[in-house]
Amino acid sequence: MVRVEKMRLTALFKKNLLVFAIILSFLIVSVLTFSSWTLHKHLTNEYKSKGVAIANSIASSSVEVLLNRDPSTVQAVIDQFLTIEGISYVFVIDSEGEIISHTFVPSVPKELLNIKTSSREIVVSDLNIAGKGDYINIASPILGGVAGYVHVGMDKGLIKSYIMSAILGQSSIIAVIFFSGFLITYIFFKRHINTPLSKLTDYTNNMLAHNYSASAGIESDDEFQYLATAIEKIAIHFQQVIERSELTVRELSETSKELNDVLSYLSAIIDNMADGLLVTDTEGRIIRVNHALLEMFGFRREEISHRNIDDILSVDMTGWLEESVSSDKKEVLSAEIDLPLGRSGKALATPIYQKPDDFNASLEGNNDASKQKSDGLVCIGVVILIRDITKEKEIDRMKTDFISTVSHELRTPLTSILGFAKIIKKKLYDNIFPHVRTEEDKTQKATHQVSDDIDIIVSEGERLTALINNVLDIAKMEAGRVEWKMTTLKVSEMIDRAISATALLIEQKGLSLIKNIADKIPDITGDRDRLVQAMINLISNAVKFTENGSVTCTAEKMDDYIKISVIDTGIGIAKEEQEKVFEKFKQIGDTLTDKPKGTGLGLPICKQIVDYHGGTIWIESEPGKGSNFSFTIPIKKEGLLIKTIDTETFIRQLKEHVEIASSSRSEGLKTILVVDDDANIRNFLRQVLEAEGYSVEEARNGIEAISRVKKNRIDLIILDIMMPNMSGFDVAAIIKNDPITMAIPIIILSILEDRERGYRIGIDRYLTKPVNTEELLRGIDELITRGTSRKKILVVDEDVAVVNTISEVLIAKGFHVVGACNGPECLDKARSQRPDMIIIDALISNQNDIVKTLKFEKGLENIMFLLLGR
Amino acid sequence: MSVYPFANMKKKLQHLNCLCIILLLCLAFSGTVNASDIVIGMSAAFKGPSGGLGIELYRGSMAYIEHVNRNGGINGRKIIIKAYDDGYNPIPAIENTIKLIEKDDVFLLFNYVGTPTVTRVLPLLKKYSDRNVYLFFPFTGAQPQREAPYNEFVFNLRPSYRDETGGLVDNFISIGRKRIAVFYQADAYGRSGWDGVKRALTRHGLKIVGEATYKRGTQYSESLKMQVDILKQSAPDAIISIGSYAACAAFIRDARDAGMEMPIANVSFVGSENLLELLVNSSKKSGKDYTRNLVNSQVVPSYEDTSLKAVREYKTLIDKYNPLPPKDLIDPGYKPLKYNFVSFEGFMNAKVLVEVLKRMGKSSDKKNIKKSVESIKALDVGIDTPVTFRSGSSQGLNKVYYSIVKDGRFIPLNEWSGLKK
Repeated sequence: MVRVEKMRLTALFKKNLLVFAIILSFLIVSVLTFSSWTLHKHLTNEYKSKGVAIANSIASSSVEVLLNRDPSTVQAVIDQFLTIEGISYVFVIDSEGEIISHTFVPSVPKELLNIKTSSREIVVSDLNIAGKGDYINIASPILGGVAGYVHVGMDKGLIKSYIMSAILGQSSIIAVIFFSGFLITYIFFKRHINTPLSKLTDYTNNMLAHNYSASAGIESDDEFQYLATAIEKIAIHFQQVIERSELTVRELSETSKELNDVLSYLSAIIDNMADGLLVTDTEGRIIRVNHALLEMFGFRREEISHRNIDDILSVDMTGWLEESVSSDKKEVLSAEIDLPLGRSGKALATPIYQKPDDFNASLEGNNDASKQKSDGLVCIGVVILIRDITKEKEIDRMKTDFISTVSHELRTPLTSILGFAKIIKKKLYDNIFPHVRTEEDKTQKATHQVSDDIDIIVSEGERLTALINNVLDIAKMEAGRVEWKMTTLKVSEMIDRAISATALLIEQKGLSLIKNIADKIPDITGDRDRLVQAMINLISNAVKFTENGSVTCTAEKMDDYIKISVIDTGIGIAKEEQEKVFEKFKQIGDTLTDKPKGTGLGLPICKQIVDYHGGTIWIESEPGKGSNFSFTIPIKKEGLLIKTIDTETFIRQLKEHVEIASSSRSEGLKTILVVDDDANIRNFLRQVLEAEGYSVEEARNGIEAISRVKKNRIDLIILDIMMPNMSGFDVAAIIKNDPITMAIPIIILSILEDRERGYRIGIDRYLTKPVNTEELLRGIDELITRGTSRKKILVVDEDVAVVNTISEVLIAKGFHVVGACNGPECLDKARSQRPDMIIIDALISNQNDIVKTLKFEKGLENIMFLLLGR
Repeated sequence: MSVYPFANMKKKLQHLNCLCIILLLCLAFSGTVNASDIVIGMSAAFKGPSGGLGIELYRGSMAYIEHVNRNGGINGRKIIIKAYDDGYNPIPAIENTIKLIEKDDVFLLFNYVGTPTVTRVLPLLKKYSDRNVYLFFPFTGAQPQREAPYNEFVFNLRPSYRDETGGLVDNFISIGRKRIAVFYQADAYGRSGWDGVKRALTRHGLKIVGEATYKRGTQYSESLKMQVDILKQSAPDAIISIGSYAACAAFIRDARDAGMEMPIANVSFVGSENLLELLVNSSKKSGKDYTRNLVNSQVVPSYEDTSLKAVREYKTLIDKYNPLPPKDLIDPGYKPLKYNFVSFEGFMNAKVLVEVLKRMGKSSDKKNIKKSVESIKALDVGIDTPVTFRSGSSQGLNKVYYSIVKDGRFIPLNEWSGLKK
């Protein structure tokens, strides 16, 4: 430490010394210059006056000897003066201008040989003698110049050497003074600055080592002491501050211990929760998870931390998260998510808000102002609770499966019961009742009774069918097994269809229907049939509860959705009942006393349909005044249609076109093979089909069906799926894969709904039990009259994968498919293969003007184009 | 030998009494000033580049003085030379002179060496004129002491530089060497010689063709190439050199090395034997003869001329006494020359001085000195020229002798035609 101090002092001293030295050097140079200049001036003057005096003295003393004509005496005189300092030479010129005495060795310089002096005064001049130096030459006349002149030469070089030695002497003295000054300053520095500085440094080092009790020990009564005293005061202050902060630290540690305890409890609770818990920050980074969550996802803790929530959850939470962070909505997000191993979970996400303290606020600055809510809360993250609901879902599924199985199983006998009841009724009215004598009361009475009974059987059968259908519908919707056929549709058309379907009901009740549809309502995207079903439900519901008055249908465009309302003037619904109307099997009114008029599933089905379309349904009602059922359907943005087109719709549209385009009639009796393991159904279908003029053959199972097909000429097959030994799908697959039989149209008639699988195999119609006789007959007629020619389709897309996917589906459907990857290839293939239809990427088509080009080529003008947008 | 008895005997004697006796003996024997002795002061260059001059001058004088002292002295009084070294520099010379006058209270000043020194001492003599301080026979040919106002206090024996340089110039011109350059010491001595050459040439209507100076005190080891180059540019027929032997020898060496073969003449002050010794040594080392065409003017006859009585006497006394100056006045490395012009001049100086002192009789009054000197007329001192002192012209001798080196020795130069251009 002391060493460091010395070095520091040296640096300090060096700096001062440098300045000191510069000033001193300047001083020395100035002083020396001035003194040498002064000295030079003085010496020169001195030498001049000296020379003048000597010259005068020689001149006056030479008079006698000169006149005496003895140069040796003159020489003796001038020699004396030569010993005087500063005199370089003396010479005497006589009246004839000849040098009669001189002191030069070895000879008189040339410069002086020619010197001419004629003045009567003393002449002082500067003279340079080559090789000797500069001189001051003083010429003094002897006897006013009559007897001659005495010249005295004063050595200027001597003046210079004098000055040099004087400067040297002065410099030495200054140097001595400087070094003694330096020494004294050094000693002074050491004693009065270095020592106190070292003490201060030691003292401050002590302070650094938290020793505040020491004293600096400087009693010099100068700034150092004042400084030391100030530092001592600071030390005392520090000590107090540190004592206070130590106290605070103790308090803090106690608090933190308490916090730790609480935290431990909380951690234990969180870790032992059965539900998974996940905490993220505002940007969706996972900052905390519990044990249950890790098990749920099969992650290790280190794998999951700091990953983004989107990597873990199958639900996109980003939008909701941003909204929670920035807006005032304290909304809880609930979503179903997929868990690994096919399990399902329900996630409940809640934003975490914190009241920001001033410290954090000031730290985070204004940038987070947006995150701050109006009530001063700031969202700091999200806590997500995930419950494994696989079991619940499984139970739900089992329930739905049970219901649907039961319903299906009910349908088969019901088909027979209702079908035969209708046949009986028809036969009774057509063949029996006209022959019954009406005179006989008893018979007449019985006939009426039978007539009424058969009517009840048929209507109740139909109600039972409707009930089963609705139960199935809702079960399927809840199980997510409904096949939605999303298309673009007009709202007015949809409402019209529903009104026409219910027109009879309205008419029977004597109610008036008011239609109020706003202009320019944009098209919506939705499942036409389902939406119509929903409308019918609502209208029939309204009719049901309205004795007189009107039913009003309105449609209007709101911000980004269409609002459709059905308003009646019926009995209305009490406030407390309103919430229940959308629940299953909850009909308003006392079911014990009132006769049920519907299935009780109409409104729940409506809600399911509306929910699926992304809308909401609600009721506004006042008992005795009527009800207003309203639902909304969002207006889809344009261009979304093609994206949402599903394979099913696409294929069906294709098929319809191909069917229509290739209709070719073949005459003669058509044979239909009915394949069903249920004899009643076979019997029923035989009766229906034979009534329409078809020849009917029956097969009890798949094997029998295949052998029949190979043996006899069959024009159409009606196939059940659920049969022993071989399922209907297998039968269809065998038939469709055999070149001989593949052209035979197949209609599946089953309680099982797996249309996709059926169409993939290549079947032509898929109908469900209980059979809708009219629909079945229409389908049979269409298929039988259809030609059997195979159609060729050209699929064009830059993406080979797309081409392959579409090709695969089409080939499965029995089409001949040709692929192309670009415009030119498309044109080539179109010309050589002559396809019936071209499915082409809209972009490629536009770039190559394919539609225009081909439409003007002979033999290709009838090709149908299907443009796929992106 | 008389200088070191103390040191020699100290070790042998242990007794205090003996020590006392020895001390007393020593004091007596070393000639320490007695009241009756005639003490004469001498300030000269004993050390340094011109040290040979003072030493040899002293030796020559002392040979004769020792002889006089041993033969009863001057009326029983011994002559003692109190000598100081001035290193051929004016300031020590002045200080020495003051010391000799004030402290030593010498009877007279004698044998001073050098022009710059003597020239500066002259005013002192005038200052001490009330004390009748006279300077005898300074070893310089300079003009000031020969002229007013100082000729009153100085007696010269030797001829002046003007005499010497004038003679050299005349002789060179006579053999057709008219382009004469001067190499001289940058002081009063050099200036004096330079002035002499200039004056002589002026007489012939000529000028000095080139001149170069050197600094007094220049050693033989130093290079004088610069001066040689300066003079070489003027292409002289002859060079007259006025300097001390070390510098002049160095100049001759460098001039000969630079291919200058013209005669180079030196004046008497140079110390001919000292000069010769340096050049001979260099010649031996380099194998080149530096002594060719080397002319020296002398103020005394050649000491080789044994036909002269003074020469014989000189050689005998030098051989007999071989005197040396006190040990503190001599550089340890100096080897005395056996015979030479300087010591012969010193010998002659002493001989004339003794005559002056003798003529003073028993009087020791300094006032009588001048009178005694001026009483000397046509005095035969054993050379070919008599000595005469006239009032106002304080110079005893006027004849200049010339010598040339042959076989490493100076021989008299009587015939100049050999040096013809």
